[in-house]
Amino acid sequence: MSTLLSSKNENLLNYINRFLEETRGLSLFEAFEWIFKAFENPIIISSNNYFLAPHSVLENPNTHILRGNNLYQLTELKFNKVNNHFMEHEMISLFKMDDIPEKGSNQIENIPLTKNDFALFIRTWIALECLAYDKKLLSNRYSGKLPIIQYQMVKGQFSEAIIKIYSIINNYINGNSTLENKSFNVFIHNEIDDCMNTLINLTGGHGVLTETVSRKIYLSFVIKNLFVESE
Amino acid sequence: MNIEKLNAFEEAIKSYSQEFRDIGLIIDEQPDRLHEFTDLASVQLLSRMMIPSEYNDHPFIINNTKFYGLTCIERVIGTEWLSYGDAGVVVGCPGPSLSGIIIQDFADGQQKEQYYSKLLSKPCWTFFALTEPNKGSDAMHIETNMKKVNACDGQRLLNGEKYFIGNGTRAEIGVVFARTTTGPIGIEMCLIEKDSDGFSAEALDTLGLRAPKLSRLTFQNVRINEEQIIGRHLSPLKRGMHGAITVFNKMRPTVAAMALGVSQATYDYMITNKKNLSLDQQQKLENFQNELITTRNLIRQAALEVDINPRNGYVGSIAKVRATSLVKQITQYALDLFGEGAFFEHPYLNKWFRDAFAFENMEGTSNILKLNIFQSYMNGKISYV
Repeated sequence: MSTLLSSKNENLLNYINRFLEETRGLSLFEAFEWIFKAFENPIIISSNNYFLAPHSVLENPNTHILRGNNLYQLTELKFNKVNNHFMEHEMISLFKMDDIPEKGSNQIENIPLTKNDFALFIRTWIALECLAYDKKLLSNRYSGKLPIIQYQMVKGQFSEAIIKIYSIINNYINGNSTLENKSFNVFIHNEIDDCMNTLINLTGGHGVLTETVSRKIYLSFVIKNLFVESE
Repeated sequence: MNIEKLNAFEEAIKSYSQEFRDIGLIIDEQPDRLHEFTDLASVQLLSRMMIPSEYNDHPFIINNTKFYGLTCIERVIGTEWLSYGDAGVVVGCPGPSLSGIIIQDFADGQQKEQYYSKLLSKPCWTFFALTEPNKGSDAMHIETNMKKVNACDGQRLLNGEKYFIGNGTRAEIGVVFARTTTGPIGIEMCLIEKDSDGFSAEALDTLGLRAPKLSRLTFQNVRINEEQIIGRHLSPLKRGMHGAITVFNKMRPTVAAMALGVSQATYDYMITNKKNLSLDQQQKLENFQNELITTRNLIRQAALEVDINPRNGYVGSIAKVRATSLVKQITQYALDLFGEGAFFEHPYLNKWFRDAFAFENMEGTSNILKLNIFQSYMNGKISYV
């Protein structure tokens, strides 16, 4: 995909397009798998000290961890699982790395996907999934004779979420800055936070049950906390 | 109740919050363990609040003044500081809570005796069952029904489901709203004990505020006698959904106070544990401090208004909308402030972040409350002074 406005590498634009199209309706761990397995050998993108991975990717002996521009084999790293009730259902585990060697077995000059890209992709994916969930939920719940989704305030909130998501993706593709600019990265993720807060409010009481969107929204904020350096 | 007595009450309640804080994380992970802590002075205190003097010979006494927790202002002060300790434990504690207001305002003598004697014999949980799986904000159209079996003795059969009911699996007694006929005055309240045939409860897994173990309640041909109908001595307009509206107006400032307690706890945690703040961070915290003060003032004003006139609900709505917005902002900011790994290295920040989402759905969502505020404005009810 290319537009007159686009200043991003065409491969990356195609990548985000494919990612959003091909993972629509899949589970969260399948979305993770898609990103990690899109490389020739699976690559898990880590933050400074943590990484998240679906179980299946960890079982592959060819899996590497990309930390900054350093690529590590799994055997080069010491890591321990961080137990967390709310992520287990999504079949994604969190690990904390210890005594990380300064350099990995390989260094990459042109990083195909940075941790900032990864955080944005997954959080945007979660936002779109929650939007779809809320649409389905509120189309089938009634207040009086109308489905709740037809009430003006609810329509307004849906639009707020859509405006945020659209702005986030558009800013990522067409913006004058990159996610490597800390201030811009923080700004984009604050927009995602606003969107998440709107979406969980829309879900109402069902939003607090772990079997619905709340686990995904929790994970969205976990990803922000791990991967986005605050100012 | 004068200001000096309330100040003394507030200072005394603050001293109980640490007990809640000490058990908060344990109960968050294992809500069933709350039974182990019913001997704590703070749990005993809360379990006796909202029991009137005729039935309660162990009120909270400060400087010879007895506090029964029957006024909204007492409840918001007490709830704020106990929630500062742990909001989940507050909601998960035994005691009257929402159903207590129904009993106090609408029950007859026999029902009060039945209800309060249970609460005083041992730590006793109660429930308030209005919300249904398909009817949340749309409470006027609940579907749980109570149909007459026998026209002569007034016996009915209760059938239906209730959802998101706090303490549903551990409650001994509670209030259920059910429809007896169509229309807004076709809803009645009944007093039900846990061991009623056909009554079952199942816990739900929630992200935050896990201590009360929100539940699904199911009623299959539960027999209801005439004596169990609450408010049967009142006119149809003064019971049923009127009861629900009364409860929400009276308890909405309390829910706002819970959110405020969590916000204050988060703020104090940041101030205590984060050093070397940048100028931006200091300004942000100063802003939060102003938000805390503003929200506290609104909540206390709302409580005083409700104590004068329980139908005056708009200030409570304003207070709760602000409080639920603040608690999400501040708990999310705290995680940003402490940086990578804060979710796992600061367990209380993790918990408060999760708890913050729950308040939105208690006693009216922000959308519903904004409609309420707007309606009050259009009806000329809003007074700024």
